[in-house]
Amino acid sequence: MNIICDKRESGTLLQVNGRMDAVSAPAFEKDFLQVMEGGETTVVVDLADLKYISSAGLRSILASAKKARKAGCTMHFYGLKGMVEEVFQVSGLGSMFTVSATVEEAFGS
Amino acid sequence: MSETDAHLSIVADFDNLAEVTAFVCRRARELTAPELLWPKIELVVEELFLNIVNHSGLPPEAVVDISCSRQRVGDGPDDMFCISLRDRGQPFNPLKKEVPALEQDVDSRPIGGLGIYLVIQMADHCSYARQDDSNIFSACFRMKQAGQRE
Repeated sequence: MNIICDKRESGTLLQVNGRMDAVSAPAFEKDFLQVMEGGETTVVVDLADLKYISSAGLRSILASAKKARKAGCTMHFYGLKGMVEEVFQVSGLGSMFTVSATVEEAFGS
Repeated sequence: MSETDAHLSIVADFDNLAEVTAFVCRRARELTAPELLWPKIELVVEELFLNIVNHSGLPPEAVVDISCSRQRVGDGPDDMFCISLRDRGQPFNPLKKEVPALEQDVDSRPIGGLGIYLVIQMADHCSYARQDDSNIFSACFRMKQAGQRE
């Protein structure tokens, strides 16, 4: 898994590429918290190039979201497709978070 | 009747996850499971193997037996790709695990508890048996998926 952090005027875009399995998932929470601790209040997570996610990835996202809520940081998602979208829907995370069709919409939502 | 499968006997250790998923994904390709299924198959084997690693109470160096096959299941009309995991841990029937609450908000939702639920949702057929002091869990996927030619 590779995470690219793109700081923008309206927030930070985290582009997550590759696979979020039990081995790689903790890196997402670590990177997300690092962005949040830098004072960011809006984070858009771009999953368009994420090919695989397991329950470990969902745990990492949920743990990050809980910390974000406490810190007053909003977390939006963009680019869910294929297996990743299905896992989000089946697990209920798809309805728990704001999932946008475009990056612009995600930052504007 | 099933197409003969290869077996992997491997120590129930987190560090062996990559070898386990590589084995199952290779078998899925060799047995011509549709590409659409590969990530679901990988998800199922990751969840099942790590559930054994983390919760079965197996002693260190205990082995899990994993096999893959292409077979008819029950009265189904088509072949299925099936993964079977056998461990000698404490009895655990994943099919009896309570369904997690999916409607809760971020604050109330517990972290975790989704692995087995995902397995049951992603596979087309699951079965469990306790035989000879072993848990045997199988997850099967229809080879012909809607909208996808084999």
